[in-house]
Amino acid sequence: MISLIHLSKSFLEDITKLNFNENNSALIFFLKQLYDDDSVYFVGKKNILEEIIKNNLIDLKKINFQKNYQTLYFISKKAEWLEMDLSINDYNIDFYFTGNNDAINNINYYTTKKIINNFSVILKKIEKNNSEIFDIKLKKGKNYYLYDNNEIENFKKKFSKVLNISNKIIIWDQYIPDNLARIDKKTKQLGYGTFSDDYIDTLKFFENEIFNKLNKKIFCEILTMNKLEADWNYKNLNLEKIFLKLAQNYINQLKKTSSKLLIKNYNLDSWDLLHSRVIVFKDEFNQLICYCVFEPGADFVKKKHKSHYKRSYRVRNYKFTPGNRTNYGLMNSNIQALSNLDGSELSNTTNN
Amino acid sequence: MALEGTPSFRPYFDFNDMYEGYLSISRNNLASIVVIPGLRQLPERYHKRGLQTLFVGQSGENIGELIHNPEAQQRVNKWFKLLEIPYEIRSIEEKNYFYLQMRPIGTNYWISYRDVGLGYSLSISFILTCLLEDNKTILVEEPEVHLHPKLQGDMMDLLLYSSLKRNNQFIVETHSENMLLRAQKCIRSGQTKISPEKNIIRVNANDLLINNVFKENNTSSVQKIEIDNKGDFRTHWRDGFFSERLDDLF
Repeated sequence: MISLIHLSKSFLEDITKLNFNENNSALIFFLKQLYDDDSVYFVGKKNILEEIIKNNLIDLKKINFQKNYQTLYFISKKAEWLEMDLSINDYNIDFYFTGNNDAINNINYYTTKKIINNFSVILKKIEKNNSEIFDIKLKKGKNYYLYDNNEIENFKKKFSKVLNISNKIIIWDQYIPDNLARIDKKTKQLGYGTFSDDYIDTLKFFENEIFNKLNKKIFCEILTMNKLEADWNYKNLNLEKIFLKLAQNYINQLKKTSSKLLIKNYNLDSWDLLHSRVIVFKDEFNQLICYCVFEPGADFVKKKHKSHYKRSYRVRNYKFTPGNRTNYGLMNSNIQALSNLDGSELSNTTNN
Repeated sequence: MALEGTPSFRPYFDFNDMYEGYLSISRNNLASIVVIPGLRQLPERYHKRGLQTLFVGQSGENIGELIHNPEAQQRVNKWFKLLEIPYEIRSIEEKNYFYLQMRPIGTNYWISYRDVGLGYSLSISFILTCLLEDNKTILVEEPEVHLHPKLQGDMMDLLLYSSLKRNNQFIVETHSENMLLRAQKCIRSGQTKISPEKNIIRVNANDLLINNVFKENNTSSVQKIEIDNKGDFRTHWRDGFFSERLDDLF
């Protein structure tokens, strides 16, 4: 979804002194690509960059250093800059750009020399890192579902990385209400849906394994639509009250994270507005950072015995596809349109 | 039908009053808008007397009359000094005309303002408007026109002064990177770089709103650019922030 690139002091110092007249333009081309790409975030301390520029200002103003100065200037002007202290947390950095004298043979460490020689390969790596689909496969165990630990760790890493720069996460899944609850056709009573506990456990997983491990507070908004209303019995037998209790219990699973569950009233026109399930990440200015389409639902944590699932106990593949940048505007307006619909709003008990 | 003894209610509309009221509101609103167009008239050797004394005019036709006012002249000269414009300005009255003259600092001869650099003479309209207007909405097209980069940056300080101290709201159309860089610097340091007063003029991110107009699908679209309290852009500029320069480097 996004790539975090750490710029070390030695890397920036190398740019200050590099002789760009000696066929080193590939580095400017490479950095320009990163500058233009809003999925790429530079990580480091900006004051170090400012200090380097200040300390070398006399040289940088000379005509021979015009390219060095312009390159440093545009690095400093990138909107996607994160002031982060790596000594506190590694923030799941994807790539490290370091000085030529700091010979580190780690695969994710790049010096100006390495970049000049392999810029197209590194650009492809960054692009792959941003757009790569990741998944969580549930295999059938003897009695319970089995998970691949690497996939779970990868999922946690990808989400934590984006959440570290987000203020708000919006989860849109229009099928939450009719999975949390179902109306029994014979008794006309409202009961738990087959996957009700899976939805609850998945939300607990988000809270315990991701939200609570961040160094910051995140606001979580779960957006859904109540298709149960399409059932004649729902309104006529006054089942709404019971459903809202189940829904309140669902959002209460987020104990330490401020959150809201927005259940929009069902209507056919809005039902098809955004059929894919998506997770949207927004920053402090409510700007869309990125989004991720997921399928088949927000219920990938399945802890129940196979007998609970009966015939639906089968191999499952939960797929997470990073959203395409060209659709960001459309995604923003769709989410806004859904948020503006009428419906109920439930907050968890810990709204801080 | 009203019962006997109770006063009957008849709605009463005085359309004339309403019309006058709306007209007066519209007139007041329009009067609070000042426009400084990008296309400005070339400096004239003389300006007619007896024109407006309240505003500079669309093509700066009133600046002779305005600078003739000693207080206005003093304010402009004070800012010339602050902006490091190496001239002093005055307006000489002669028969039905005003002659605008400028004196290079350190000399004792005056020349017509038509004969100094075009940037200086064309920016007088903007400088005067910033210094004379208050509680106005000022629309400016390209305040940077004909100015060198340093003065473009300094003009942002003048604009911030006029906005924050004279309560003017500016709507500026600009292609000047230097003006934006100065605004960023002022936010970062929390104050303007240039101030005519002893007290500093405080600036924060909320004093500035940036919209980037870009072409998309054969139409113009507007992108709001967020800026944080360190003066850093927090929105990715469509087409980059003056990044064409980088393309020319390789």
